[in-house]
Amino acid sequence: MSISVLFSEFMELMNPTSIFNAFWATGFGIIVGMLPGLTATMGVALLTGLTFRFMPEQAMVVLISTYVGSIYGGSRSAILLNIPGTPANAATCIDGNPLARRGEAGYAIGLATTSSGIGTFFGLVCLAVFSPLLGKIALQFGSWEFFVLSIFGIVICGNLTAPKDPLKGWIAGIAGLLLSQVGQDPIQALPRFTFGQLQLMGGLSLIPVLVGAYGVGEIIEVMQRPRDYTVRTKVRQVIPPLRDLFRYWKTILRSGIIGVLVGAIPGVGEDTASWISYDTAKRFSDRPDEFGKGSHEGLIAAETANNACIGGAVIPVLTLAVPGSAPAAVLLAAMWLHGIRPGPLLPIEQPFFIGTVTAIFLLSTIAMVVLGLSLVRPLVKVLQVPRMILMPVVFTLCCVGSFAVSGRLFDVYLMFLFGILGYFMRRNDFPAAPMVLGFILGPMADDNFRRAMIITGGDISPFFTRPISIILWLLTLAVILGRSTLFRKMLRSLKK
Amino acid sequence: MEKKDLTSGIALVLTGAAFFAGSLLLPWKDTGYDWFGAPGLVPAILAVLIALCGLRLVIRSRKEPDFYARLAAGENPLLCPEEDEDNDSGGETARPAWMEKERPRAVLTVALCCTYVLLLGRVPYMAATAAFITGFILLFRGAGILKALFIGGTASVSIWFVFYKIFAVFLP
Repeated sequence: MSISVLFSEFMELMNPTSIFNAFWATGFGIIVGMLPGLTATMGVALLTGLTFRFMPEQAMVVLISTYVGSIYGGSRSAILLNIPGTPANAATCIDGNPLARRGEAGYAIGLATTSSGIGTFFGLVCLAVFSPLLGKIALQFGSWEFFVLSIFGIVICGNLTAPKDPLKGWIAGIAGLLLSQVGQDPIQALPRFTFGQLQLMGGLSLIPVLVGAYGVGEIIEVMQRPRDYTVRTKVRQVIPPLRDLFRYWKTILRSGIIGVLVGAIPGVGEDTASWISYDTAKRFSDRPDEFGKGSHEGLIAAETANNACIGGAVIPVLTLAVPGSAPAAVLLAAMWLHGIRPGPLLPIEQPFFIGTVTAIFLLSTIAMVVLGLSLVRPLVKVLQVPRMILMPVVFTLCCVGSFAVSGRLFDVYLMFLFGILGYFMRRNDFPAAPMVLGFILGPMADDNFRRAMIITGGDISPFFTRPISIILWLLTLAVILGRSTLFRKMLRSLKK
Repeated sequence: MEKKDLTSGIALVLTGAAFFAGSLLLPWKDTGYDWFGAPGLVPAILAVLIALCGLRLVIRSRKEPDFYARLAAGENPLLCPEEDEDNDSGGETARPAWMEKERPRAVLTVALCCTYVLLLGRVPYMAATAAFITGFILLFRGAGILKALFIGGTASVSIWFVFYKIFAVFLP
C-alpha cells in the first residue's frame, strides 16, 4: 500500500464526525479497559450492537478506537491497583505497580501511554505493509487449506490461551465449532439441531454469544468476589522524558515485532503477546534483576507488545477472515454485519478498505495518546466507582447490545444463557477465546470441508498433500505433540 | 480441580453423544451429494471429538493425580489477585455475613440478571431498567435507598436517551 493512499484515506477521515467518534470511543475503551473484569472483547462486542445503525466507516472508527483504547486502558488499573484491567495487561502489573508504590505512578502511566502509542503505531505500519502481501498468499487458498487453517487456529489458540492445560483450550475450541453447527447448513440449507424452532434457523447469533460469554460471565465473576478495590496512590507527573524511550529503542522494536507476530496467529491475542515480550525483554536486558521491582524496560516491553498485537491481529482478519485475537473476532463479526466481506477477495471488492482501517488505527492512536496523557485524574476517578453500581449498568448495556442487532428478545435470552456457560467455563478453567474462535471458524470449516469432499468425490488425500495444507498440518501436529507428556518422554529417551 | 474435571468430562461425553445422535438423525441420503456432502458429517465428527476429549478429562481426573499437583503448584497469583495491602473494600455499606461468601453473591447476581431479562418486553424498558439497577444496588448494599433510586432512574433515562434517541437503536 502506498503512502499516498494511506495519506488520502487519513485525510478523508479527518472530519468532525470521525474525530468525535474516535475520541469518545477511545475514551469509552479506556474506561472499559481500566475496570477490572471488563475486557476489550466485551467493550467491542457491546458497541457492535449499539453502532449497528451507524454508517460502516463510522462503525469501524468506533469499534477500532474502542479496541485500541481498552487494551491501553487496562494498564491504568494494572499500575494503580495491581489488577490487570484486561488480561492483556497482566504483565504490566509486575513492574507498573512497584513503580506506583514508590511514588512514580504518574511516570509509569506516562511510560505506559507512550509505549502503547508506539506499539499501536508499529502495528498499523505492519498492517499497511503486510496485509496486501498476505492477501496475495491467501488467494492460493482453496477449500482444503481453509479447513486445515480453521483446525490450526483452534489448536494453537487452545494451546496458548490455556498454557497449563491445553486440553481444555482445545475442548473449548471444538465446543465453539460444534455450537456453530446449529442452524441451516451452508450447502443445502437443511436445519440442524434447531428442534423446529424458527429462532434457531439462522443459527446462534455471534453477538449474543460473545457478549454473554465475555460480558455476563465477567459480571458474575466480578460480583461474586467478596472484596472490591479502590485507588489510594497519588498521580503526579505523567509525561516521561523522551530519553527513556530512546534508551530502550531495542526493547520497543523487539516488543513491537513480537506483538505483531503473536497477533497474526489465529485467536491468540494480546495477553500472550505481552507475556512473551516481557519474558524476552528480561532475557535480553542488561539489568534483569530490576524486572519485577519497577523496571521501566519491563513496563515498556509489556505495553508496546500488547498494543502492537492489535495491528497484527487485524492482518488475518482482513486477508483470511480469521481473527488474530478475541476482540478481532468481534471486529470481524461487525464487518460482516456492516456488509464488508473480509478475506482474500477484499482487495478486489473493496480495494481501499485496508487503507481505511490503517487510517482509523492512526486516528485512534492519536486519540489514545491525547486522552491518556491529558485525562489522568478524571480517569482515575472511574476506578473509584463501586462495582455494585457499575455492574448492573453494564448488564443493561449487554442486553441492549444483544437486542439491537436483530431486535429479538430471543437473543437477550441467548446472551444470558451463554453468560452462565461462560461463568462455568471460567470456574472450571476453560478459556473462552478458543470457543469464540471456534464459533467464528465453524461455518468456514464445515462449508470448506464438505465442499472439498464433494469436489474430490470423498477423497480426503488433498487435505494432506497440498503444499500449504502440509505446512499447516505439520504446525498443528507440532503444537499438539509439543504439549504431549508421552511425546516428551519419548524424545528424552531418544536423546539418552 | 479433579472433581470439577470429572464433572466437566462426563458432561462433555454426554454432550458429544447427544450431538452425535442428533447428527445421525439428519438426512444422510437423498441430499444431492453422497455421504460426504451430508449436513450431519461435520457435526458428527466434532461430536466424536468432543466426547473423546471429555473421556480424556475423565481418565485424567481419575488416574493422574500428579498432573493436578503440578497444576496447583504452578499457579500464577497475578492472574487471580487476592487482597492487597494497599487496597481495601470500597464504596460498600455494612454487609451481612452471607455477602462475604462467593456462592451466594454469584447466585444473587444470576437471579437479579435473570429477573431483569424476563422483565424485558413485558414491562416498559425504562421502568424495568430503573427497577433492576436500583434493586441490584440495594441488595448488594452499594448505597442507601434514595441514592440507589436516583442512580437507577438516571441510568435508565440516560440509556434510553443515548441509545434510542441518539443512536436510533431499538430497545427491548
